[in-house]
Amino acid sequence: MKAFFYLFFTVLMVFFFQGCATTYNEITVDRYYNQFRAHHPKSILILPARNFTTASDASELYGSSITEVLSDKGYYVFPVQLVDRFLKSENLFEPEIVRKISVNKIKEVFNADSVLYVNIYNWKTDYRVFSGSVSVRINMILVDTTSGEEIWSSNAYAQENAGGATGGIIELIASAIDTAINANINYTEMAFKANSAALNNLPSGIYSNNFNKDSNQMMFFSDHKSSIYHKMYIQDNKIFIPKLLPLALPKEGELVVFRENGGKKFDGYVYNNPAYYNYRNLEEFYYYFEINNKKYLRHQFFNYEKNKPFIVLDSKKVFLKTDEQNKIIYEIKKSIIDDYLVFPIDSLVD
Amino acid sequence: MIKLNYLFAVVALFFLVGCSNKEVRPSIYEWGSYSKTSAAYVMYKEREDIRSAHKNVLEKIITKSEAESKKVPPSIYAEYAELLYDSNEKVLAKKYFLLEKDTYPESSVFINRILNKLYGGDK
Repeated sequence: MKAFFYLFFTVLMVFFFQGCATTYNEITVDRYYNQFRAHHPKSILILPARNFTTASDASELYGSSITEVLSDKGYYVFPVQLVDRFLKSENLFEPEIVRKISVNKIKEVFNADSVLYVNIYNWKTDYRVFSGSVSVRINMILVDTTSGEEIWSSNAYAQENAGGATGGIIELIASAIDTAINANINYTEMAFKANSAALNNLPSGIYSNNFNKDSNQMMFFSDHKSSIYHKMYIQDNKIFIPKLLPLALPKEGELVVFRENGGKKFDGYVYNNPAYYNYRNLEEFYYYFEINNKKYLRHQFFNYEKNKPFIVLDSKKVFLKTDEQNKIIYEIKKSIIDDYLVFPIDSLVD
Repeated sequence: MIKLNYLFAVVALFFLVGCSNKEVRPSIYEWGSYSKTSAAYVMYKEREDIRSAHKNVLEKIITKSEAESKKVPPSIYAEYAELLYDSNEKVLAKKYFLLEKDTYPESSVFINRILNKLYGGDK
C-alpha cells in the first residue's frame, strides 16, 4: 500500500517536472549587487587563489584560465604570472600571506581599482553513481581598493561528465580511470567553465560594448513555484526551502549536481540559490574569507551584502537571521513528501 | 523512506534533462589557443617545447590583433615580454613591457615597478 502511495507521487512528480517546469524569479544585476555601480572598477588584480583542495597545482591552473574570461567582460586584468612573480620577489610566496596585504597597499603598489579574491574547493577526481567526474567549486569576492567595500561576489561550480547514465559497472570504473589520466587538461577546461559561469553576472567593464548598458540584465533564480510539493515560499516571516529539490544527490556531504550539458562535455554554473542543492548539512559549507585583515565567516551557498546572507525569492532580496558568530539560523521541518529548511527572515528588500 | 526519496530524485533527474542555462560569453579580443597553452605553461614551465608553444600563441595573438586593428588583450604584451626576458632577449622584452603600458595606461604603475626591478633606473 505504502509502495503504491510513493509510486503515485513519483508519477505525479514526473508530471510536474515534465518539460522543465522549474520556474524562476528574477532580479536585475544592479539590485543584486547594489554596491557595484558606485565603485565600478576599470581594472582588476587577481591575487593567487587560495587552494583548499589536495591538488597542489590547482591555484596555478586556475590563474591560467581567468584572464581570458575576465578580459572579455571588459576589464583590464593585471598579468597573472607577472603579478605572481612580483609578489615572490617581495618574499610573498603563499596565497595565505598575500591575502593579508591591505587593499590600500594594493592600490599603492599596483594602482588596481579592485582586487579579486578567489577560493578553490573540490578540485579532484572522484567516482560517482552515474559517472566518473571531475568537479571544481569556486568562491570569488571583488573588493574596491579605494573604499575597501565588497562590490561583487559569486560562487560557481563546474563538473565534467565523463560517463553516461547507461554504462555498466565496468565501463563506469574505466571512465573513472580515464578521468584521472586526463585530469590536468580537464581541470583547465573546467576552471574555464566555472569562471565563465561565475563571471556571467559581473556587469561589463569599460572595454566592453555593453559598458553601462547592462544595468537591467536579469539574474534568474529557480523557485519551483509550479511544483505543488517542492516550492520555495515565505510564511510567518520565515522562508521555506525544500530539501529534496531538484537536481542533486547527496554523497558523503558532498554536492553532486547532475545537469544536462547540451552535448558538451563540461558544464559550469553559479549556485547563488540554495534551491539548486540538496545540502544535508549546512554546517559543512562554512568557510572563512579573509579580506583586508578582517576575517569573515561565510557560507558557500549564500551571497552576502554587508556581511549579511541573502537569497532571492519573489524578486526580493531575503536577508536571513544569523547568530552572533554569523552562522545562519535554520531548522528542519519534516513532512511526508519532502523536508524543508526553514530560515527566519531578518529583512526583505524589494 | 530515504531510499524512496532518492528514487524520486532519480526519476526527476531523467525528466529534467533539457534544462540547461546557456552561456553567453562575447569575446572582445583575439585569444587563439591561449587558455590551452597557458595552462600547460604554468604546469610545465621547465619544458622548452611547451614554453615555445605558448610563446608562439602569444606572438600570434599579437600579430593577428594588430593586423585586424583590434586591441591586444590585457596582459598579453606583458606576458610575452616576460617570456622574452626569460630567454635573454631583454631589449625586445622591454619594448613589449612598454607596449602593455601604452595600450593599457592603468597598468603603468605596476609595469614601471617591473621595469625598475628588471632594468634598474634605466627606463
